[in-house]
Amino acid sequence: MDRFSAWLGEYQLSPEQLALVRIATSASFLLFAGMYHFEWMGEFPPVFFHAYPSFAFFFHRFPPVLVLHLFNFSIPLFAVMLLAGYKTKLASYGFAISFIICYSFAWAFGQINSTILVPLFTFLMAPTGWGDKYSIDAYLDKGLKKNSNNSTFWVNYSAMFIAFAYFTSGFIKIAGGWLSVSSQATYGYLVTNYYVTHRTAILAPFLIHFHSKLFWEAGDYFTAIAEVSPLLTLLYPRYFRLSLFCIATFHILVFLGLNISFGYYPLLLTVFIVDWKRSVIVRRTVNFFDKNVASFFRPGNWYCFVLIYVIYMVVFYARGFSGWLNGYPDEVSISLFITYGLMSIFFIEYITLNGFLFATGKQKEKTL
Amino acid sequence: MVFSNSEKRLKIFFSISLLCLFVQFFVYVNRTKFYPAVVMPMFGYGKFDMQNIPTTEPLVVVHFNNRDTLTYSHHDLLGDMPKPIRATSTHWILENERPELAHDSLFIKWLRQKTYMLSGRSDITSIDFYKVEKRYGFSDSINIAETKRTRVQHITL
Repeated sequence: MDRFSAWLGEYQLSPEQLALVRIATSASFLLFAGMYHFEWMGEFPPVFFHAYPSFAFFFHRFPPVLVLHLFNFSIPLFAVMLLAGYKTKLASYGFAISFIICYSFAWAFGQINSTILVPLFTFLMAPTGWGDKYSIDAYLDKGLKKNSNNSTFWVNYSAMFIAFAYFTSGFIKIAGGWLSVSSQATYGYLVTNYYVTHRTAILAPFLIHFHSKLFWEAGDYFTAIAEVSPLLTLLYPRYFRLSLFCIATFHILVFLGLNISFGYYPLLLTVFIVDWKRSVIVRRTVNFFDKNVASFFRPGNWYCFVLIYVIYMVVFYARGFSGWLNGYPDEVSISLFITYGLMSIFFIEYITLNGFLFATGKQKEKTL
Repeated sequence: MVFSNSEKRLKIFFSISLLCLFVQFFVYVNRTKFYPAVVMPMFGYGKFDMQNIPTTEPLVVVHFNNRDTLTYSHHDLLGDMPKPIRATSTHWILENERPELAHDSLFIKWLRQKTYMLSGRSDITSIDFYKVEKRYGFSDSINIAETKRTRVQHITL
């Protein structure tokens, strides 16, 4: 079996496992992502509009406020549909496309952020059949629809996109001279964040007075190498998982030092860290879902999902989009630590089952 | 293996996709400096010298009727700026060399309100936008030195 085939097999998830990914993705979006709202753009005159090549490129001004309110309502609706597994494919595409359309307009102000990975993942997972289990669809189709494992290559495809996204960041850093020992980029980031953007919480006040060149240069190397490594190790599952774990650790360090939270990413990366074939945690979770959760999606309980959507919309509109707690970045930060913890558990399980950098004799035997 | 029949096609599909991503990254993005909202999520930046870190910050000077002035630093401007306006803050206007956006009524309205709250004055006659170049030095203690101040826009109200 060549490396590519082995890699495809690495992420050959069962319908139950795909459903777990779907539920985790949508639930964490609804719980932690806060509400993405776009109505504010509608008040801006066309002079602010400078769209980059994207959906918004075909327009010359921001959409009317009413249209943007419709998107405010539709994105959480698609997220709840994903959670419920109702018209899952439509919900996945609807969520992703609505998100990308709205952000193409938001980016027309000139500031681009990295939100794209969330809808991109949902878009690529749509054809995998991640709504075939623990879902309303499963009841509607009465078990007639079977997930064919052929479509799980989209999971590998998502891994490639995410690895490439990080690569672009790392490559530019290396091209920009991050590996030169004459200057320390990580420290430069800290300084501009601390003094210019005024991000001065958690470890920032301590780190700003920490002048060890060795420490900061190590930070430069760690960041640049961690970001390019997922793409370089893509076909080597063991090292790919290690590189993703380094990336998630990097996100935690960025949060502690620069107070910037990429709260959603560790969850996405966890999908590619789990040993789906051998994980005891996953097996037990599937058993638990089979016994206790699967029946929740039966017709008598469908009103619960309507209720979730209504509560979500009422809470967010009533609180001025500030979220369940104190809004961004609090919830995103909580999400960051929860998902990083989850990822760490799966990473430890993986190295327990498969060894760290190299497979041991026993583990090789087990694998064979 | 489940994939065996379609494996070759998959290999080609993955390779072409990756090639397209690279082409987009190197040719389209890197040369045109456009960041398409399709697949380009993250970018890094260049290096900083730890002893001598340069930065460019905006500065806004509000002129009143009796020639008094009120100066807003970058911190003042970002502090309580609502997010939509913050997204198009002076910093952005200067960095993108689009000072014509400073004419926008929302920003001016916000600046008028802030000025009134700070000084109780509403007799603004004009606003100057400056680009201030600074250096942060970190040899023994932190020192900040302004190296250059350029006026990029003057608005008469």
